[in-house]
Amino acid sequence: MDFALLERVIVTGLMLGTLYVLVTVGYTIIFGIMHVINFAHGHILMLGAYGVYYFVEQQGVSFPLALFITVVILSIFAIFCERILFRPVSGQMLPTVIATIGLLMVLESLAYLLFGTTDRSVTSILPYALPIGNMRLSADRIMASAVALALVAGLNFVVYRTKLGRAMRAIEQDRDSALLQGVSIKYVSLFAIVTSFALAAAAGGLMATFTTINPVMGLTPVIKAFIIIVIGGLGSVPGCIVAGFILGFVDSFGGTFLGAAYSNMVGFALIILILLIRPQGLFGRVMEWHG
Amino acid sequence: MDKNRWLRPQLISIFALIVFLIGLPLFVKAPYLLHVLIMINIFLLVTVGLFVVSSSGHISFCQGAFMGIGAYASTLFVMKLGYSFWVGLLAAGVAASIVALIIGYPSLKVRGTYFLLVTFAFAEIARLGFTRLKFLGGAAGIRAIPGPDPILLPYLPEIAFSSRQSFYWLSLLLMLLGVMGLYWLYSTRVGLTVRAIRDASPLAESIGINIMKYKILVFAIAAFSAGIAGSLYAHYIGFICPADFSFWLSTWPVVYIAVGSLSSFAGPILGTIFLSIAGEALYPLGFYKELSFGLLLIVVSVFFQGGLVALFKRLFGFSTRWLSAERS
Repeated sequence: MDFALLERVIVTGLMLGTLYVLVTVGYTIIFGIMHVINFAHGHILMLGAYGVYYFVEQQGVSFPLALFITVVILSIFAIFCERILFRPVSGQMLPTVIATIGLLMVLESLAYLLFGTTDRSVTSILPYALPIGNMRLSADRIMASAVALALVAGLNFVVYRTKLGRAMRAIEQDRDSALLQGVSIKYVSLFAIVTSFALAAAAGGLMATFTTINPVMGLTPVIKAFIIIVIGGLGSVPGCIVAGFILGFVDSFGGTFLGAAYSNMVGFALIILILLIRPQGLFGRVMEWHG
Repeated sequence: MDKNRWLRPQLISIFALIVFLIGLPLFVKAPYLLHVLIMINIFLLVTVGLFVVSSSGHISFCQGAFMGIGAYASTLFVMKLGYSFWVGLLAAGVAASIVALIIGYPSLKVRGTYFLLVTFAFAEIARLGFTRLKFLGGAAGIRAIPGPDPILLPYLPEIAFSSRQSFYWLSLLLMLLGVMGLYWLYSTRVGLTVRAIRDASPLAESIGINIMKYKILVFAIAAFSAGIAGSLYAHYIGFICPADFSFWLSTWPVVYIAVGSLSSFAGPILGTIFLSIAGEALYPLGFYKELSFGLLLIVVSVFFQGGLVALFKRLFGFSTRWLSAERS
């Protein structure tokens, strides 16, 4: 194989991988703590992108500040959602699915009503291309991947090095014992949802500079997140990171050699393979939802 | 055996309902209303099939994909291979169930949330497949799909399906056959076994039930009925494209069941009829329709988990066996 092509596949894979991980990691922590599948996760990402679009393009705010304001607004929205939506249905499978699909519809129609049906875009923040090896990459994408990596590293630090993270892992592993030890599930759940929404909003805001923004842009990332979760193991943060990079490489490899749509099928083939060999996912533990 | 078996009130009322449904086009002439009724019939096949799967504790998110497979299979059989519609209809069901068997074996190894994620991903992959495969017409889809062939019976006038009215009767017939067949399946041994698997999987396994066999069986049967629905849809609308079989087509059946009721056979039927009509009635509102639907779903899942069936029972004090005694 051509060395330049290989290099391109690896670099693209790494960059896709960091974004996939950023989208999925927030998703997987909500599930680990609250057992909620959040179908609206991609739509939070979409709102993040629209938020950045609104502040940068319509209000003339600088990009970092716009990203920060958007993340803060959506974190407050997360508190609201936790109280009226996630807490009442937490732990019951079908009601959570229906409630989050309802949330998805509300957010999508609100985005249409507020921003119209035309695609939007944010002008490039860093309009240069950096030479990496033999190829030139847009600085926006590199910045997005770098920030994504930093955020994921930060989350990893919280989950594995702080008291709050220990409480999160305790709830994920054994809810009742965690309660007996005095862990406040309410408080940790709230933290998990706020973190999840904030990470999704950040992912959307970072992607805003190099993707078209429209009310349905959240669906594809959610499908990627589903694939990553099944491969990595539901509720597992390391599983999500490893599987995110695996899917990043699969997509970059498939996208280069087979075309984008076929690479999605390769991702699905990977799911089938995982289910046949290790149904709980690479890093998952066998739990009640494994037949 | 009860002598008056055929005089039980619920059977009489169901019989009266069927007569009413057959006679409906004689009063309802508006093409638009007939269209809504036909779409309800088609969707009932999809939703009730899904209900039987969900009674095994697996919420499948790919009924829309099976509908798409049925639609494309039937179209291929009729337009490329030159078979009649009736062969295509059967081929649609068979093709969907074959895919369900292949997908079902690995994915039914996991339950609940995992199964939901896998089937959801499959639905999206199937849509991409429809887009990518050249002989399926790509993203532009397939146009000018012929309607059902007329039936020629000796000594009888030709039965043609050229009018919307006659298509309504065809869809009604298939819907009734499908729903009754699925009800029979649900209330006899297979259905009971499947519900035993949902309630106590290890216990069911310990008394010698082959869990995997039953789970795959109901999954494939639900796919068959979705495939039939897909074929009807394709030959009714006359045009299919991958965008028809998107995420939403797989999501609606789940929503219908959740709004109807997950624990009663009447649930999917009421949910489909109510939400289809509500969707049409709210159509002029545009994006506010989506907004109100979304709010409705949130309210139902937070406050009314019994769904429409529970609401009916509370409002009218219904106590017919069909509505109440079917509690899983």
